[in-house]
Amino acid sequence: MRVSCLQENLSRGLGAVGRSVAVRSTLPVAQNILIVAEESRLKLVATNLEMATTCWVGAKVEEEGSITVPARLVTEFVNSLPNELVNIEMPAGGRTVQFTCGRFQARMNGIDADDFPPVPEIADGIGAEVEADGLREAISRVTMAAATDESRPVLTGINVEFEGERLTLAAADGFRLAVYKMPLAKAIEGKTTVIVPARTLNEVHRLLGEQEEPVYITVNEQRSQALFRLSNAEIVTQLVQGTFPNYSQVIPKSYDTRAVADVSEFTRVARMGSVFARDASNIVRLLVTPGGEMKPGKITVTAQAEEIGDNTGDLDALVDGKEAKIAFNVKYLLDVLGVVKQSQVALEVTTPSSPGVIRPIGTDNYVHVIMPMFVQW
Amino acid sequence: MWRTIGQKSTVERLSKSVADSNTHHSYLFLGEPHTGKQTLAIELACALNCENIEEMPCRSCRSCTRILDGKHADLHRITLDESGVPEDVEVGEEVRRQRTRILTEQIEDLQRASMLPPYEGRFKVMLIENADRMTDAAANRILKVLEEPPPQVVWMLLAENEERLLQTVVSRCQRIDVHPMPPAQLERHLVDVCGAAPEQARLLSRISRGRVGWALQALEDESIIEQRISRVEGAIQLLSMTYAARFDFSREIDALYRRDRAAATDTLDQWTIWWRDLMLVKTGCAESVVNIDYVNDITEQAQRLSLEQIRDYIGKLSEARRDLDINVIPRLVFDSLVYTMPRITRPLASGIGLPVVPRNKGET
Repeated sequence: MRVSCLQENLSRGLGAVGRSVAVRSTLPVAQNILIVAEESRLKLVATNLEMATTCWVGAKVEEEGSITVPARLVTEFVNSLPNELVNIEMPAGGRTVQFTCGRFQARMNGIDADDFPPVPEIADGIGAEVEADGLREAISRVTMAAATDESRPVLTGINVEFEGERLTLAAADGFRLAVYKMPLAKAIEGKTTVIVPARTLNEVHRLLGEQEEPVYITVNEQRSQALFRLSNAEIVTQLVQGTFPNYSQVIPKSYDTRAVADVSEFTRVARMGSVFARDASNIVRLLVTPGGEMKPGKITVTAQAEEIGDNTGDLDALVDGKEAKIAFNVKYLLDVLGVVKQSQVALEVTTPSSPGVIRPIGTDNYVHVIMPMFVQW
Repeated sequence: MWRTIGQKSTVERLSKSVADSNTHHSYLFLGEPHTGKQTLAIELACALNCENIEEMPCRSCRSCTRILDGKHADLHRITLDESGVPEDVEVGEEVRRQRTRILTEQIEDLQRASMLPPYEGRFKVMLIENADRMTDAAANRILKVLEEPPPQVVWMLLAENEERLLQTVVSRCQRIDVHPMPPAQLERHLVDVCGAAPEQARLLSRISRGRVGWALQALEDESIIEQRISRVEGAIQLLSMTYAARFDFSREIDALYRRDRAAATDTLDQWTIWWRDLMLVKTGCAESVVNIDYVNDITEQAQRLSLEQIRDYIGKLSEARRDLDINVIPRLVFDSLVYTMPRITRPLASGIGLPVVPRNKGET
């Protein structure tokens, strides 16, 4: 193998695949990055057996070849090199790769490329095309609602549903639910539902960067793997097996009270409440009061921590319906307020023991449901 | 082709269930160390993923070779070895640290992996070596996945001691007993297939107690036999040693135990086998003794000991093993062992006596 490329490009490529490297694995080679010199580019691959990321870097290839090298070692070394031409050399059949860049040199002992787990090939199956912008927004609005503990495996993934011209992403962890709908660039036939690990989607989001070209998604026929093709990288992910709970039942069909408030004001008051709620199981109480003749309606947020103190803050809101109260985990409230791009949100409440709904104003593509906390009022 | 030897009926059963695509989601391989549990489990993993439909496992397709080399992405394996370095790679003692327990985190990693479909093969195989060494928390953790098994995942638990496993774990697995091979059969195999000398094969088949893996290893690696000889000699001499010397011995074993737990427990096992031999000879079953190369010493000692003494001491040895398992201070265990061991004061006839001076034929 004899190949040369710019340090900047190589470093970017290693950074792109770096998050897919296995942290601890029963398979030592999964902690390495596969480097393949092919045609006129350098292919970098990393996998943790859950997702496999492939990235291509422009390079001048004089002799083809492949090897795997320890991910951390190569990434840290390349990152500390100056932005000049990096020469990568390895004698045919050898296992030691030599990196040369200006006055710097390194030799690394690698593992045979044949030992590297092959990246699953996904050729046929269901193909879909989505706008990068929409996908970025969709991912950022749902992944935080996915479960992080593994006791219910399907909830650690995002339910992705392709149907006709629409793509629906949903995540739930038993305490909250986030559903985002977006159009597909091209309509597909029938309906396909898969569960993509939240970690993979976060990685897709990271790699999307500023990309403007559409993203191609392919799901294989067994619904066991999916491919996300971005402009600079490809991610193949294993899909969580199982059935996602029927979440449409959880979204309340109606409400008794609806309060429309400014997102930044709401965030400020909620964050203030979180300071005291920290010592009170993160509980904040929301009191929605309708406006009178001359005064506007308001949402009052209070937090009480026993033996520590309490605080109250309120914000103006356009209230429709009767007075209502509900208690939330303030972390969930801040999470959703933090990802909404619109300037106003509507909070829909029925009773203190039924779920609260938050929808951004001006669009109907996003719904966020938060289960209430039971408190003594 | 299945290469596991000495487990004919088990292999037939497993091979049929693979052919009929009727495999269980979790297997428990129970048997003494080195009887072939791991070999059998790995072969089953090969068969489950073999690309050659005519003969599963073929041991030559891409999938089989990757599994056999430990490179397959769908073979997830956890052991007591903390370093994660494969067994055949030589590394220093520092790197190869041994855990004493399988921890919850290890099980959690497998659990997470088991949620996802196989990466390159047909089945994901979760292999847990020393499953009887799981902490209670780890064992309880694994219950859930055994209860609601994800599709295309096969769990294989390897264990030596059923009693140390949770009953709830045992009942959720298909149990496969891996028996030691009858010595005569093993002897034949060693001569016919491995090309061992008849005398060596006879000795190995006996002292291995039918544990195929041990016999095959000993055939290739002479140091194993040397080690065994030094441990048996230790057991012989200890009986006639003074108490001071015995306590020195105890200190040595204690040091060994700290350095290399497996070696120290193996020494205790060797003692147990020795005392079992003594009992066999004492009760007139001399043909079944394991240490056939020391028959004279066994007979000698057996004559000087009473059956009660032998029986009681065997009890002491198994108690000691139990004590070590529950973390009694090792030094106390060993001290008590050497102290309670019966003592033979007279020097053994076959031991160090006066050298016999050969008489010159011409001088009479």
